[in-house]
Amino acid sequence: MTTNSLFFTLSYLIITLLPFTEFGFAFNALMMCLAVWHSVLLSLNKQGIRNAILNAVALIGMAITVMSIGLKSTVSVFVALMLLACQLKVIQATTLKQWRQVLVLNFFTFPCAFLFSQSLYVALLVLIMLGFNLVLMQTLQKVGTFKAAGQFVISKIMLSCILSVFLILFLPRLPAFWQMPGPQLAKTGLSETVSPFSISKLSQSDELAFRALLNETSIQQGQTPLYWRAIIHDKFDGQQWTIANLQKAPISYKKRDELPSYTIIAQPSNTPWLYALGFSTSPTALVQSSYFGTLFRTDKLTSTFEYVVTPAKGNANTTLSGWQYRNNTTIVKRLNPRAQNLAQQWDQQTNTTAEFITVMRRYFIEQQFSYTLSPQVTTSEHMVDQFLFEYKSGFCGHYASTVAMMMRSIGIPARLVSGYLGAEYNEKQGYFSIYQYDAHAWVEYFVPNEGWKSLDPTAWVSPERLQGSLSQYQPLANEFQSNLGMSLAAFSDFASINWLRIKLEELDYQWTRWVLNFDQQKQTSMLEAMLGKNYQHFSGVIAILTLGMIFTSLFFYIQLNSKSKEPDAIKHYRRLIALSSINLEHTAPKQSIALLQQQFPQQSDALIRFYADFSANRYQGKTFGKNQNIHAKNLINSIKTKAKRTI
Amino acid sequence: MFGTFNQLFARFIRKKHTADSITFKHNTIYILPSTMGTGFIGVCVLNFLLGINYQNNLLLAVSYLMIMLLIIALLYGYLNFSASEIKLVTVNSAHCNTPPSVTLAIATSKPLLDLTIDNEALEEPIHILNVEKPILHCVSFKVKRGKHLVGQFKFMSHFPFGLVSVWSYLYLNKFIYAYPNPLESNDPIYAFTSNENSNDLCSSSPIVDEFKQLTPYQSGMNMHRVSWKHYAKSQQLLVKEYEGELGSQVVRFDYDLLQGTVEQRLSKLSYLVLEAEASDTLYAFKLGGFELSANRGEAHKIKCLEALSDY
Repeated sequence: MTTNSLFFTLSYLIITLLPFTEFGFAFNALMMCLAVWHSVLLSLNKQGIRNAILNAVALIGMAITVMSIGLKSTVSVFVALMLLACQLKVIQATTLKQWRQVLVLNFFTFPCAFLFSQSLYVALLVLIMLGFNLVLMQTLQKVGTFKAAGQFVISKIMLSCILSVFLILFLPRLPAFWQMPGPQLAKTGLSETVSPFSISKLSQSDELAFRALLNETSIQQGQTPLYWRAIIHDKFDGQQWTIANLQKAPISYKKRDELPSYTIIAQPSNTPWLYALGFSTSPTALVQSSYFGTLFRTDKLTSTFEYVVTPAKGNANTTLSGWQYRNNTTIVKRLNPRAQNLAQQWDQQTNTTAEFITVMRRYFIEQQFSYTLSPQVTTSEHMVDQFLFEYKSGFCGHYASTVAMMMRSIGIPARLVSGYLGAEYNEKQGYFSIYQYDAHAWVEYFVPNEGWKSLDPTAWVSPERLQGSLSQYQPLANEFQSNLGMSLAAFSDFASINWLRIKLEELDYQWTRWVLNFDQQKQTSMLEAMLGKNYQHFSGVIAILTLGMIFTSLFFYIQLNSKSKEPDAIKHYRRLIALSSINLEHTAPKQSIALLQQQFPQQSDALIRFYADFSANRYQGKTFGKNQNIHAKNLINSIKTKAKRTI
Repeated sequence: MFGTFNQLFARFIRKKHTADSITFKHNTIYILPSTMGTGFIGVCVLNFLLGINYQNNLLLAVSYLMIMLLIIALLYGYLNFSASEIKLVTVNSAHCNTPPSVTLAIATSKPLLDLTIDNEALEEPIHILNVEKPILHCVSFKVKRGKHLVGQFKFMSHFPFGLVSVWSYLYLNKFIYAYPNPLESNDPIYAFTSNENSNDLCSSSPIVDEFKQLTPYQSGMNMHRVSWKHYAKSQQLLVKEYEGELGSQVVRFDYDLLQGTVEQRLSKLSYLVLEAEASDTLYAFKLGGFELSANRGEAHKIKCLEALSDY
């Protein structure tokens, strides 16, 4: 049982240490200690720990688990306790019954990883673990070698996989019985407060944020920059922008029929905010549009989520009420006096908002502002002043904050939008990938009678950033990669690695689209397409019937296969003795051949030859090959024809 | 309620499976998930509930996968077991310590994996890992002295994965005797009584060594008396008989004359019978109301021993 128990311990450890199961350092350390303890016990060949010790360890372990994870994320605690319990059971197990319990329980413990991540790799990992578990179940019966059990299991598990996919596709799906707490996971590149001035290094993640399926050709060619709006920030306290109160106020907009809808598959972000281009609404259940035309979900995204976005008529609102005006022009007057002064000067030089923006733009270009992912941290309380007159370099958050604040200071309603800019287009599959490192912030300002308009001051400084994704943006490549850390995107210079990255990304896309997001809606439309509207309700019956047929044929197939096959030499020998007029079944082969020779003297030589081949094969272990087969057949045929002639 | 059901089921099994041989096929095989399989189903339901409630396709897939595995296990379990035949070869009555056994022939055209044979009289079930070709299997019984019904054999397999129990029965309506273990008798010789009509310890009629005739050999006859000359010539087993043999030396064993507890006395009797048989002595036998006149040979010995078992 050594392999068994080591395999169990190893798999529990792997699940514990998977990057997305965040059980905290203490729990990880606990599981590692238990694994080490277990392997030491195994190497000392000790079995059966006293229950008192195990109980003590279990109690301490539970305390560590709860402290390490916290009671808030019930699912994580639950899975962690499950892992702990299984590990202790493995250490304790000595009898066959206990091993069986562990083996069965593993069928629950391993798939628990799916609660945290459903990526293709995790699915493969869990499948391999379950397969190995099955092999151990088979070897526990001691009926064959490990290898034989492995071969047996591989074919069975493959068949079961295919059949279960079939069931997933065709068996009617049940709705959730009750609401379950989701695991707390996933970070998003977006946050509800934006405070760029206190960040020294914008850490970038190459994690996927979402994917978009757009059909518009102009967008696919990368002509218009893609601004994915997600969160509106309209309060600025001189240091940070905070999320708007109305961000979660649902409003229904009329959709604009002239513009096509598109689909977005969002990765779990643990926030309710969704992404869309411009003013949008959505026909998908659970998705609502806010006052600002951004989309949000009624609950948090804990697993991948697919929704449809429809452009909406929201921009028609060209007036601003008094409280809204006040809300969008408030700044802390005390802070950043130099920036306010500069804005006043420009205001006096210009007549319209557009002119004001032109002047502002000229200033940024003339003063040679630069874009960086590693800006200096402001030390003064007048953060905007320090950025504007001293450092002159920063990332999107700096530019957007500064511009919005300056516009507000002279009475132009302005707000900060955070979302994503750009996308990586996959030509083959026809979709866009938007990564966390594409997170961006820009400004929206209000012009009376025209409505809200967007403005990206970062574009003045680095216009190339607008096209495509940040990973495709050359000037910043080094900085981008150093901020990314170890990941495939960091090596996108090498053609082969970039190719691999894109291939994996494609695979993951298909996986997400077809496996993870296959829901009731998709099933219905698939069944409608396959079976027609009237028959789709019978899909369950059809599935069961098909399964029945598959199993019946499998039954007969195994039965046919399990009949042990006789070697060729014996088959031919049997056919030969059947030709004789005497019953030779109980005669020794040598004697039978002698008798046959008497009966068929013409074939005497051939019979002697056959016997030589036969005995060489049966008694000396030589092969009964093609030539021997042909001779034997010829012999049998010649005897048969002769027998016919005599009749 | 459960008890009555079990009784009914036992009666059903007795009625259906009473035979000397059984071929496992669709109407003689019983198949259900094993204890482990039940746990497996439980876990499967749990996965299904989780999958449904989290709308998690992968968890759902795992639960379907488990059900499929279970069905496949049922199929393989059935096919592993089916088409094999189990036949009773002999019921070997013997002394308790020998021990008594039943020989079964297991015939199969394909490998039969993980076969367990169980009977009430077995200490623990016999586990045969792999039956690849027809075999004879001797099932030793652990029983007390007495006459026992062989009764019900249960054949079971948990192949594959241990998830399913595939089983069948063979009900043998045959008796098996567990003879008392021989116990060397230190009792004085008066336990021996001579010929039926004399009360002397030993009949004193002279042994006449005169050859009388040759008779065909019957099983259990003393091999010393076989006329090997004849066998060499004609390959016929013939036994020499001598004049006046019957009157030679006759002993009479009587339970009532022995000392000790019931079991001890039976064991002593058993020893005496074996000794007498080994020394080719004629012996009469009396056990309570059961009486046998003086005789010898295998059949006579077995009658005596069976009587001892059944006492």
